[in-house]
Amino acid sequence: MADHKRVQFDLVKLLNGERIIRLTDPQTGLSLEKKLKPAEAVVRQKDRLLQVFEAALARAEVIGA
Amino acid sequence: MLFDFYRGNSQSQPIIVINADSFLNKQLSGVFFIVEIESTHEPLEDALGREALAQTRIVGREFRLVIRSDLSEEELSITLYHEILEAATVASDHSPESVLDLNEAGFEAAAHRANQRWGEVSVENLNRMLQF
Repeated sequence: MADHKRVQFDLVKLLNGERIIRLTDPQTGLSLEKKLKPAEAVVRQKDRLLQVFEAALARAEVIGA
Repeated sequence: MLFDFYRGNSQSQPIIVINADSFLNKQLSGVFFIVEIESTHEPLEDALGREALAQTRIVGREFRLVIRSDLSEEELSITLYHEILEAATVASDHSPESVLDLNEAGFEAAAHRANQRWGEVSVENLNRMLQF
């Protein structure tokens, strides 16, 4: 199971007001980025993205093992 | 490092507004730390070349911020309130109920309210805001 404590988050505020969230695993270099939906709660979007990212990370680790 | 920028009607000398050093390595909400605040005169862009106002990197409980230096005093204060509130929310394993339903506009509104209620951003005022 991937350790989400090592996941790095970047929150980028664009000039047009939009917000980008980027998840990166510094150990593998795996990165996942998404533009946040303006109407939806940030926490729910982050939780969903983290689940997807952890699954991808676990898969990458299995393939790399 | 200090923030410096030119006010619209004062074009000759930069005016020191917020001492960024005063935020560094101070506990926020008892668990978070700002370890770096960079103010940049260069255009800030994301990985795809889109122009950005600010970027906050969250590594565990540590926050690293890069903010454009051409913001007004009020914009800078509101931006710091916004970035820290959203970063603390994203960094928390179990976010408090008061921020659970906030979308991007909700965080911006909360930052404006904090700036109106407590004034210019400071470590003390960030901690007031982070009591959720």
